Amino acid sequence: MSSIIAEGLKSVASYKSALIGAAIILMLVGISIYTVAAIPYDEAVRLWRAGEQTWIEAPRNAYPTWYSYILQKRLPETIIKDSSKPELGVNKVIVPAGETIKVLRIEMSFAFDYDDIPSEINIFYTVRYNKSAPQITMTWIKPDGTEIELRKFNPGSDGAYYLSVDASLASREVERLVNKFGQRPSYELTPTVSLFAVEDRSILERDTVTVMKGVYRLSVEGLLLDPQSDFDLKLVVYGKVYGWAGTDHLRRDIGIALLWGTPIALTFGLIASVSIALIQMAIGAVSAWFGGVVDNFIQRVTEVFIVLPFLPTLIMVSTLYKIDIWTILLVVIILLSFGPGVKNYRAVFLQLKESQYIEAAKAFGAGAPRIILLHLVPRVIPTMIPAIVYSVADFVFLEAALAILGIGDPRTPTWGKVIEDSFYGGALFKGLYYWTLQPAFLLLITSLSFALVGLTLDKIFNPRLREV
Amino acid sequence: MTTESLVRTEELRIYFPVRKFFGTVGEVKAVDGVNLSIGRKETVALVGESGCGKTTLGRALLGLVKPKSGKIFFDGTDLTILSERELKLMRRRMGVVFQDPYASLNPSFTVYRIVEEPLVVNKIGSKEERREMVLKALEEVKLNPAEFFASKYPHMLSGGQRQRVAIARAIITKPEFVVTDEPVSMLDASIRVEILLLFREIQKKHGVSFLYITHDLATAKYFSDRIAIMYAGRIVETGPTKAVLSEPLHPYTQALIDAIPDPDPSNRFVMRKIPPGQPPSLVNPPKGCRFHPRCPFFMQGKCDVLEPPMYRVGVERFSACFLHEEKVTIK
Repeated sequence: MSSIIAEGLKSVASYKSALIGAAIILMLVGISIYTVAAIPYDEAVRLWRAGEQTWIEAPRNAYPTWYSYILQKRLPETIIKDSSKPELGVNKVIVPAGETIKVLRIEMSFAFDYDDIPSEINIFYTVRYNKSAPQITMTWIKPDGTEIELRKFNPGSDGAYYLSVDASLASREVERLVNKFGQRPSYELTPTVSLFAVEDRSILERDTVTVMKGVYRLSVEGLLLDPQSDFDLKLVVYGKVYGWAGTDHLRRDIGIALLWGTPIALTFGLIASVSIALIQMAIGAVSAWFGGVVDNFIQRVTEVFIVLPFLPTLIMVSTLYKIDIWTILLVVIILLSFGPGVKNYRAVFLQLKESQYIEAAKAFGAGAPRIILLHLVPRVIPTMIPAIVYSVADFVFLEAALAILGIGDPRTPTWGKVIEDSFYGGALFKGLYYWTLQPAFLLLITSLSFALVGLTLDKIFNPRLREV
Repeated sequence: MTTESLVRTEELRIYFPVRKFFGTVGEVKAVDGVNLSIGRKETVALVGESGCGKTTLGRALLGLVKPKSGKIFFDGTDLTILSERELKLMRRRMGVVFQDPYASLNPSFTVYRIVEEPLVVNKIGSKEERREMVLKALEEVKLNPAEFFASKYPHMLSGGQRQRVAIARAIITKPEFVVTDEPVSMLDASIRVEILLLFREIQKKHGVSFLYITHDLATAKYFSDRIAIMYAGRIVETGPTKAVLSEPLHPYTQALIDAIPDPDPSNRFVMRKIPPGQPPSLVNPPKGCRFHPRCPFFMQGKCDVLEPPMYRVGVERFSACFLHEEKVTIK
């Protein structure tokens, strides 16, 4: 048997399509191994289920980084400056100005030479005081020197200033532009745009807005009214690209789901196809070998299972019980154990069972388990192997299909889950093609690779197909 | 019949049910009241046309088919009442060689494993002992060098070589009785004799009894001591091979021998007597003598009513035909 497999492998190598398929499979396996080693499963689940708080510093619906190369322009990446972590371009000075009063000055500057306006700007701050909250004034200074007062306030507690959605800032900006150009912008101006756009008439039209490149500054002045009082802030200028796979509507890195989707898809597909094929074969063998009542019973059960509508049953089960992906796998295996394959294998075994070498085995005293395991089963393995390889892709697709139908495991990051999210997030409507197409592409190459290898194995193990 | 017999059947009947939907609508009477005995170191040829039940009889002697009634004695033990476990122990003392050397070997095993398998199943010997036994058996069936053939797969061998492997497998457990079911009918004429010679050599060496099932009278004559002619589930004539073939007594045996092509060119226009009609259906065999619808000596009111008993018609010779009624005494 082992020499037959070795021969088979040797002839697989002579088919180019199989080599391509095998290369893709190897790549997917490599990705899986890397993923499992680099991001532990619990960590991946935690990141995937974490919600906005964990991902607060990632842009929403950002493109993958490689979009920059395709669009031939530099899309902004996220810039983070933190006053509690001094670095180049971040200055924080506290000067005493009396017995208890201190003057705080924070200067942040960063170079911005991207070709697009950032997607969002947030400022997160922490504050410490005994009785009276500090007085804080934030000013935005554009590279051309334009100063824009953002906000003047007394932060009572830690919080965030969502600059992009600050309505009063937006209306002040519109007023400023009206004063400067004598005309209102023709579109709804957001602070993000006005803080980053070139200060000329181009800012008045949505289509002509251009980015002002250069060094931006955020200047914060404050009065700390208590001796122990302190104030720190973190400026996050969200970019339009993130990671190699982009982010979704919850700011999550899609890359995590795509990476973790690989081992999950492969494991799901392989476990399902191998175990279903083996179980069906075992049931078929038992049915054919023992015949009579056993056969009758197994065949009737099989017919019942074949008639059961697979997908609706699965939907019902996963609706009634909140099940995770491995339970889904178990249900799939149970539902398909008595599948049509039982009939096929039974037919093959019925024929093999009557062959003379089986009769000879009985004649020299071999028992049923030995005959089934050593004399019958090895005969169907050549037809089983291509079938197993083929059906891996089926089950990978099935898992994705279940996720898209919303009955997958909501916890686990999978390709299907990403496609479902993108569907509900209106990805294609909003032009966020990467969101849908990346997992779809992975699904596609997975099934393609298994199909290529399966086709070749079929040709090798069933030589009659070779002429076709 | 001698008490020295190794295998003996008594009124053996093997019926197969004919099923339709859920009920049994009839029975195929493949073997219907057969008395046969095979002595030690004796070769008995079981001859009959296709579908007369000779293969079924052979399988029953190995305990592979459960008879409906009757007894099968192997070395004094009735096989029909043994449990499956006891039967397995008895089967160690028997061997079988099938007709089709292409189907009777597991294609996914090497020759070595094929021949070793009976030893493994019956837990005979240690690994090294088994290896020695297998190589010896291969040498015995003239597969030389044994080491070379042992590593081959069946598909790499010719039909004759495969049949030798099958023989090696049959004799590896040192059986006392081997059923050979048309072992040479699928082989080239040139190889047939070699295989039959091999059987004879094995018999001489190990004192094995053979049941040689065939439809070929020529090889039966070449190989067997005694012959049993079977027709439609019953044995119609037995006796020493040479005597039966040179002087057939039962009308069916006569017809069989008449049907052998005559190589003499001067006889090429002679019409040979061939019994009309076809062998009867075993589901619903003719009443009385099974051969009566085709028999040239058909006696109305006798052959189609009564079943002819076995008449002793000579030294060790028996024939089941009413023609012998006046000449001999009932056995």
